[in-house]
Amino acid sequence: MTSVKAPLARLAARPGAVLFPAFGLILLVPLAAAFIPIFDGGAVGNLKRAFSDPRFLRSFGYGVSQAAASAALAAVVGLPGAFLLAKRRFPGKRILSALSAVPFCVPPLIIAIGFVLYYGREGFLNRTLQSAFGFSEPPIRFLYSFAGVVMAHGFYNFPVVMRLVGDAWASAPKRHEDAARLLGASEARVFMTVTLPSILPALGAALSLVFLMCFYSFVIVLLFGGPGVGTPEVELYRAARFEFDRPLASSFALVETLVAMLALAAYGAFERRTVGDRRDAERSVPSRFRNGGEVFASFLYGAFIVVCFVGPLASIFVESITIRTAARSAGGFGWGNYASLFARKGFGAAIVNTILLGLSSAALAAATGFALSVGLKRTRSGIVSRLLPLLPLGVSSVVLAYGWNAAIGRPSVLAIAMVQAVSAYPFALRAIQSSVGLSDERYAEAARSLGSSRLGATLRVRLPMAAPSIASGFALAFAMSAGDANAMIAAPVSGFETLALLLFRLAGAYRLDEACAAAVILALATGSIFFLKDARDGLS
Amino acid sequence: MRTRPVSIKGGLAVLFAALVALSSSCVKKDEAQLVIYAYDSFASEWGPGPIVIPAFEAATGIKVELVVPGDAGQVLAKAIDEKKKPIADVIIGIDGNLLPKALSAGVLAPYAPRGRETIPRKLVLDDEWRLTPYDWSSFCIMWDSEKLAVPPASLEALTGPEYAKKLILMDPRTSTPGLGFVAWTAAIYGDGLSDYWKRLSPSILTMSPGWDTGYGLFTAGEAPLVISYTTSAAYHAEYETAGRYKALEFPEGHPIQIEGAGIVAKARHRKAAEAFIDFMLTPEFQSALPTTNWMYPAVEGIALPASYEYSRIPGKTLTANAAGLDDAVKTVLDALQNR
Repeated sequence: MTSVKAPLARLAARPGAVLFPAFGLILLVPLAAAFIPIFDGGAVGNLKRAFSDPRFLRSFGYGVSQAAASAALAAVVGLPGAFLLAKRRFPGKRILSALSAVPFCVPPLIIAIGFVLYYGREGFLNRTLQSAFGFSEPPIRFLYSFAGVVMAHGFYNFPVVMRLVGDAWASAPKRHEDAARLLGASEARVFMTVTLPSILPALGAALSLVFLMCFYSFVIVLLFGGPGVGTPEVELYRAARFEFDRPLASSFALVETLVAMLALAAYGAFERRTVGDRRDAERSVPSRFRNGGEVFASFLYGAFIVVCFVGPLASIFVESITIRTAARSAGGFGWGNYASLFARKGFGAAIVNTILLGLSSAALAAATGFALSVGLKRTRSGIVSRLLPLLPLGVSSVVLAYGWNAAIGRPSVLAIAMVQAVSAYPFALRAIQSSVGLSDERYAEAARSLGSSRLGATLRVRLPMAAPSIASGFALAFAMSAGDANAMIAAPVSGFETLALLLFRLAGAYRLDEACAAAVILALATGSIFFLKDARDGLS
Repeated sequence: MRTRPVSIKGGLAVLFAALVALSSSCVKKDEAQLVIYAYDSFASEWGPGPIVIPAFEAATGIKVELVVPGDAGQVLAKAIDEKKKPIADVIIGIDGNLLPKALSAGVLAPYAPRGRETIPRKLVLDDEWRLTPYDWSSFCIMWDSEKLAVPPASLEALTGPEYAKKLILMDPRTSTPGLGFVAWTAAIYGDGLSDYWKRLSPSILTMSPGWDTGYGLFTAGEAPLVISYTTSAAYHAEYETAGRYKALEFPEGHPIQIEGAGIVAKARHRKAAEAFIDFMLTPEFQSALPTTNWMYPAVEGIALPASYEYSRIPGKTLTANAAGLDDAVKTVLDALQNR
């Protein structure tokens, strides 16, 4: 009997040993299934065919250059915000911080609509400028060009830079800065030699992450990129859907994923240096503004953010309360769009489904995050243990959803929950790791020496200590799930609708006003989750 | 400290319950007597689906499972994937441009439906009746008369400098009307296709991923010209004030999009599938189409709503060559990308 029992007991004693491969599976099974068609007629031949197609390299050139430019813009816009979040106290700080929900929770289609309503030829800015200065043609014309793509991506994603760098900046060891000051270094020198090196890894990580997100972008690139422009994602879609050339589509997907893996490796390298041992990091307390110059500069920055970034988001809100007349001109404001949205058959079900799906995928993501963070703490290196937690960042959820569909034969809500969990767990992991990293191993050791099993020590010591940050990771994953429609668009489950999917269908059924109303509700819900999470985490 | 483990257990219990509820909600009993794949706008609450599917069930007593894999391209892609062991019995939404792919994949089985003689000859896409046409409309350029005083008079005129950045198209790689416009220009210009698109390029504001987004930009006033269907004018007349948005008729002629449905080869419920195809040609089904799918019924003699007075049928109809379309798309993209 012991021969059976012993390995089982050993497994139970090492939750990491079970969970680690299990979570590898929910990622790798659909991924493998998505790549299988590449062997249809020979993988080498298919890859050769892909590479000899001129649109293939052209699309990669465009995809990489727009993503790099977008990441650079996001960094420029995000860095001042990172400083403000980390080092200063001011009214409205939580709102600035809650903007970091936008890149994760507001779907790109909504961002695109917001940009059109605001920067478009008939948008708010052009109409205002034209009526103020009497221009005959709209003066702002960058939207439908490379610059438009970069602007939309840069502003969409700057909160990522702001958040990641801000977190690192806040926990940059103040003692070192103080020591440098004591030794007579100027503020500029302190920044260059002490502060900057401590935030560079976070900046690198943020840049790689934004690059990845823009590299996989679809709607914004097609809409603003100019006629005929192509990214790998667009060509993949065309090969799969219009040419019915699955092997070619798989080749695109494989190469695309490999390129993404490079960015991912960079992210991993930076991220590892960011999440170091922070036990000696005393968070410096944010101070008030030091002088009038700071106040003025911050005010300018705030105004810039409001005009360039909040403007498009606000346009969505304005559109949602605009009542259109029969000739499609604005006929005043009111809540009519919301009323018809709420009265829609299936709206209640969509809310319930959003919550159920969000709870499930967040539970999976948080459990994965916790198991991996405990596991990662034990294993020191190993390429698998380092890459596995990050892998989902380099894989589009569309590919995963297709993969599940191919693997189990029919669309399933559970598969969608798993796809969303996989997309969210790197972020949940990040939230959890910071506290599992911080939690003192001595408590777990003490519990074990008092006779507690490994599992017991994990459940009774590590889990409670990490509980607040698990809750953070959970909230983050829930919000991401609520805002995600990609997985369900790629593998629709008949009769199952969520708020995000309803939003897409409304926009697709030419009911833009109601779609904007749904977007506002979605943004408020996910935004307030972030807001509460921040309040809980003591970021104020 | 004692409360925390309890709350964790409580939380875990709630989550477990959510997972169970979710997984039970997606376990479905296989009691359908007919499985139909349709594109999203057909099945949506604004489309014909909610009217015609219950009507069919009431008339025949056959229980239908309507599955929505996505747009028409995804409907066909899924049917091709499942070719060896088909799940669908009927697929809806195969148009003239998708048909060659469906035929060469061999996913459709012939069935000559009852009432086929009521369909005009020019709408019949396959002589073996592997596809039964159920509705159609003409492609055209829609014009916003409030934003642009003088509309273009022809496809050629669209290339004029006065229309710089005034035209919204859809990407032929991702959208059916986008593909339709390429087919249109290919039918008119033939070998001059690449040159035409190089001349047209300055007039294009954007090529949106799908018809809905592009048409949304058009009604938001971003550009006064957009590729759509003549029946769009009827839509505006029905729900808004007629007259602002007009369908332009070009002397070169207009291609038509014909949508059809077919029975899947080796369908599990063949008899029920035949009954459904027959039903698609009845007045009950056909008269639902003009105001839900915004297309003309394929069967002649179906009464049209008053708003269809604003959708004129173009004098000259073109037949586009669907077989060479992949090459045409390649030519167009090369012309656009190597300006």
